Amino acid sequence: MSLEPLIRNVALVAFTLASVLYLFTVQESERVSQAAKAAFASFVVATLAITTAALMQLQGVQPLTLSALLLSATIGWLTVIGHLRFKMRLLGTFVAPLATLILLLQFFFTPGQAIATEDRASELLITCHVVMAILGQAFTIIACAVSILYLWQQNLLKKRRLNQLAQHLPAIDRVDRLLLLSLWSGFIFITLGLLTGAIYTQLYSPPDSMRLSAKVIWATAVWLWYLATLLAKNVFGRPSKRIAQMCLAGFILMAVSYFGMGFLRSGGP
Amino acid sequence: MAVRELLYINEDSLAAFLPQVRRRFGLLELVVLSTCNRFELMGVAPASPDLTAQLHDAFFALHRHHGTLHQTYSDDDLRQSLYLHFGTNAVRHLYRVAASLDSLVLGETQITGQFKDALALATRLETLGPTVRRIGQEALATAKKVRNQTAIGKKHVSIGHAALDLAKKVFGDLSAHKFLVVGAGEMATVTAKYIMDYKPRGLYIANRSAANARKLTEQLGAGEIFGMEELPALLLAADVVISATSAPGIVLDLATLQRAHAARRGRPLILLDIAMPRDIDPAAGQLEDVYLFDIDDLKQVTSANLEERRKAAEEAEVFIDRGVEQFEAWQRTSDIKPMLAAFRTYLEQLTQREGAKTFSKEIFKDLSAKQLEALQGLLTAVASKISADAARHVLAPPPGFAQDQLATALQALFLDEQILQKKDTA
Repeated sequence: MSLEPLIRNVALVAFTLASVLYLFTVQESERVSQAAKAAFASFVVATLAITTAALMQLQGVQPLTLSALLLSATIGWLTVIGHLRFKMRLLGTFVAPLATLILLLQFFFTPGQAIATEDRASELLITCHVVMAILGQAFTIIACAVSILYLWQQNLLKKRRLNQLAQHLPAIDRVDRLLLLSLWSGFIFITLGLLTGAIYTQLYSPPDSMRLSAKVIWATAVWLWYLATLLAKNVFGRPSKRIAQMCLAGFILMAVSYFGMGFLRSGGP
Repeated sequence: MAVRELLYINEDSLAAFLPQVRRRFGLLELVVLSTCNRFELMGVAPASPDLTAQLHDAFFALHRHHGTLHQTYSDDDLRQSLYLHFGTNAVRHLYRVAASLDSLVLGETQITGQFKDALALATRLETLGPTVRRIGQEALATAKKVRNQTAIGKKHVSIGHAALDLAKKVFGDLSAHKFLVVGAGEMATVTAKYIMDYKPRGLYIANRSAANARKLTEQLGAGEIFGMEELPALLLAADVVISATSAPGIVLDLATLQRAHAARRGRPLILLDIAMPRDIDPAAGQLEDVYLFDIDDLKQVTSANLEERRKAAEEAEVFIDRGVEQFEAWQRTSDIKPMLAAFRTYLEQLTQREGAKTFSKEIFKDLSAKQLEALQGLLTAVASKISADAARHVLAPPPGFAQDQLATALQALFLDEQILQKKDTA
């Protein structure tokens, strides 16, 4: 009997628990440090569990395919790195619910079907494409979470709700820098994902060209949106609040693209 | 306040007169804590029915020599403003002072250093004795615990500090940014000093009077001076602007700030308006990536922080209580030790005396010197054992007995009043 569904459910429970515990870390109180430690511990457990489940699900599947489990695991690890390396303790507050949502939705969508490949080179190319795509999506989800944190904090500062500004909130310029870093990282990986996908299509022409066109259109739309966001920041000097709002919109566009394609793959109308 | 500001005596003046005051008024130990907010004599004195008057006289004597207090106030006027603490209350007061629980600004850090300096001066002048030294050490140790284990000093309660704390909410690392201080008055000076603690990348001082601005930069040892006409250019260079002029109207208008905002291309700008009336157009707060805070916002922050310090002060009283208990335990022990030493001496002298008397008798004449020495050694060993057992049980009384009870009994049973000189201390 496969342990993968059990471990997946453990991950789901742990992410849900982390989501609840992180709510206590928003306000500053005596409970915060205990709640924060418990939330982070739960998040790490969830990430480890989901990574295990993802590896078990994809064992023997060649080449690698898109998987909600793999996406959740990647988001989890990026959040853990953000917490430890960038001291973004509150990042988990926004990522944990998103990760929980992704895991819940994967109950309704089957993992992508393995594409039949001709040789080792095409297999590697597809694997590369999937890895780039997952990293691109993960970074844009992190950018979305960071955007929410930025907008919330900026709103408190602009409206001068200073007593609601908890001591443990990071400086807003640090949140802004992390937002840009996530945005750039996501954009680069999405670009590489598109390129590797385009190269594969050019070289090996997969059979279902109708679905592929829709997929390419959506992926390109997401790429263009993030390009516009980066141009708005770096070329036109738009305020960070607008950039954060554009990141949120980009996430919604990407979610529609991802789950829309999942819906089509599962044989929807 | 009017009395307090005349109370301060500097260290050199104190050094010249402190030992004389101690001797003249029969004080066993004397330390003076002289700051801009308090003047206190701390010490040990023999118990006396006139002790209060004696201490008042010591206080007046110090001030007649070196202060200006008596030019304005008579002794009777001053007596109304004096406070006295004795015994445990005095110890508790000193602990609270050292821990900044008695300060005008609760949790301020200066008083602990001033307390240490007062003890150091008394040590140098040899007016410090074992009791006040012990109180001082314990008070400073308690102050350290209070500071480390409560929130008493964790959040700032001054406007200048609160302004920079807000700036840190936007720019985490202030040392990577440039500051513009508009004005060179008292508030601007105080805030500029706080800014220098963060070692900023640049500090610009813009003021109407170049002379005042220059004075400020000389005080700080840093800063570039600019005229008010250069404000538009400075708004592009600086990331944090602190405005504290005494101008009757707006100094930074919306149009100037809008142009600066457009030129900054999305770089955040913090405007801290600590002037009254306001220097910065309030509408500037509507600009994206511009964060404007005025004196009301800062007062909101400092009030909240002060409230947290008050709560922390309640927790700190627990440390004070523990510290006072420890001091009292030490004091009881230090009173008992001379008595135990006297008891040991009594036993040694007794065994020597009785041994000499007994061993000189006929019955012992056939014993060799070595044998007599061994017998004397036996007596000495028995005496040591008795005094050691007595000391152990008095210092750590068995259940059902109190330390002072056993000490009194030992003293009454064995010690003549001529052997033990009692010290009556206040």
